[in-house]
Amino acid sequence: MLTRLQFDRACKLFIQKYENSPPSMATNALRGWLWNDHPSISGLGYLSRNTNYLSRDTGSSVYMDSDDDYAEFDEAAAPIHINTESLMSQQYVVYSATFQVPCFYLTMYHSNGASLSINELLASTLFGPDILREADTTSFALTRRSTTFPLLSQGDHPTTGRPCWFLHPCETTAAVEELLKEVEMVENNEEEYLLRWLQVWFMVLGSVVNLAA
Amino acid sequence: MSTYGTTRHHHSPAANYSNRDRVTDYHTTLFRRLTWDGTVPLEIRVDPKELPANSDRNLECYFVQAPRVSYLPLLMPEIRRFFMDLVFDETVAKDIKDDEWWFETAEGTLVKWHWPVGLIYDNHTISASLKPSTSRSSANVTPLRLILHLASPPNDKLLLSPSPDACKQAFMGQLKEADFIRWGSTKRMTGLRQQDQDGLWEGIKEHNFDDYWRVASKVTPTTAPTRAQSPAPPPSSASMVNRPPSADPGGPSERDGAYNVRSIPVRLYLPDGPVIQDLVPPMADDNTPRTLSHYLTDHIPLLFPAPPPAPPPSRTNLHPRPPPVPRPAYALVQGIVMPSETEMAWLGGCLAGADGWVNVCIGINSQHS
Repeated sequence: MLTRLQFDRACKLFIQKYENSPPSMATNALRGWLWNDHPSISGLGYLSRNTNYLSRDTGSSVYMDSDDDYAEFDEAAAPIHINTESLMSQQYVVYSATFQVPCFYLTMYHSNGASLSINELLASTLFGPDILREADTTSFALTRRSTTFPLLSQGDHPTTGRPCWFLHPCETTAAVEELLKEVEMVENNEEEYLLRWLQVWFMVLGSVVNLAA
Repeated sequence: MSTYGTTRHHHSPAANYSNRDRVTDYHTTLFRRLTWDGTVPLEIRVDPKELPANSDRNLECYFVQAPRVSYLPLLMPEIRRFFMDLVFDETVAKDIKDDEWWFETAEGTLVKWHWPVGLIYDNHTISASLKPSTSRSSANVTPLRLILHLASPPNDKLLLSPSPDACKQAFMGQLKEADFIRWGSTKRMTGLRQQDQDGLWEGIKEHNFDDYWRVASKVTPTTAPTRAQSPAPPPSSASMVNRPPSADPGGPSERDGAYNVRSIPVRLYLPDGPVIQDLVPPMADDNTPRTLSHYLTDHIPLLFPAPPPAPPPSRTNLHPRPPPVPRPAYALVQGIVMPSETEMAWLGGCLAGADGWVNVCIGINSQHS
């Protein structure tokens, strides 16, 4: 767990560390993040960045949903099995006041500005093809069986209030804390610890979503 | 003392108690009942620009006295029936799909599907407090005027899927978060049988206090009259009086009391601002119960300044009182202006919404707006 102040500090150290690194497979997930504050209230800061994904045509019934708009906006008039529509995504790392850990929020749009349905989101290159395994989907959430909270569901961004999709922080936190135990800490340096915490968090997040778009 | 779950049963109260049942004192029950029974007036009309041809304009408005603990998706069936059956022309109504319907306040604020009705209402009250109004009367309860749009919901500003299922999932999520905030884990909620968990939502849908609280009392902390330090005898009741403490490990205990939680699930709503959520331990640093005054001074000191200390005693005034503090703002919980000495833990046990959360809405006092 982190306090809000620790989260703020960790994010700022993180941005500093990666803002000047050259693009590479290793650092793509970690670059390009900006810090944002709420215009009038302190303690509501978060990370954001914009990035692009592609829709992935798996040829499955995922595309046979009732969203009639989809076929019309398929701009790549290419063979049916190759779909390279570019999807725009805004991504956020916010502080979860309930769970006291970072939490990943995102929105994703077609190039015409229409929001994606959950099926389209799950079929995009944001997620790996096994995201649907052992999970149930509704139009508003993806839930792994026998878990307390949905893995992916909708919620209002805690600072901007805009609706987003978000990954429930619980599982990420458990994994981060396990991994941190394995890493040798420089005990007396809190900044080092906070940076490491967030790096490990991004690594765990990267195993669920594709951050290196 | 009244107890839960037995108002409709005719057999002995003792037979109903499992280890996890609680005897809740009269005081707490009273406030929970008042909260549950609270309603707000809604006045719904279709955007005149979208009113289909040949609609009956004499019936343009649907009035409903909606429970504070309910949700708009649950009110949709009756709203839909009114407009489809009575207002819209039959032939036109056939082609209207209600999955694109959405609401806005008369002032143009989007109404959120996943907020309880009481919160929507109180949030509107505080937004209105920012606008100077010569005709606003604080004595009357005015209906919340909502505009119903029939198409093109702004998907970038409003969550998708206003279905009852989505609403239920959001509701259950809030209950689990509240559980986590109180105890650091969700095991009280997840420890409930699926049937019981579903029963909470059924209680909301059917608006049935007993059904809801039969389950909720297992996971919601009580505000027993005893306090933090000394273990005092539990509230008396016929079934408990002859039971020695060791025989009833699940009985009302300090362990699960509202003053022993790690933090109270509470959110702060500003008139035009974000929702603020933070840790709120039940006891303040000086080991007295944390009050609303402490909480508000901590988070919005400009609106709720800390009371200055009393001046030192003098010959003419042996017991001076601190000077009065201007009050630019007020705090509403369940639509009621709360006294500053209200204890946060008490709010958590007695005036929380059905989703487990205490929603504190801050309004601006009229002479300052």
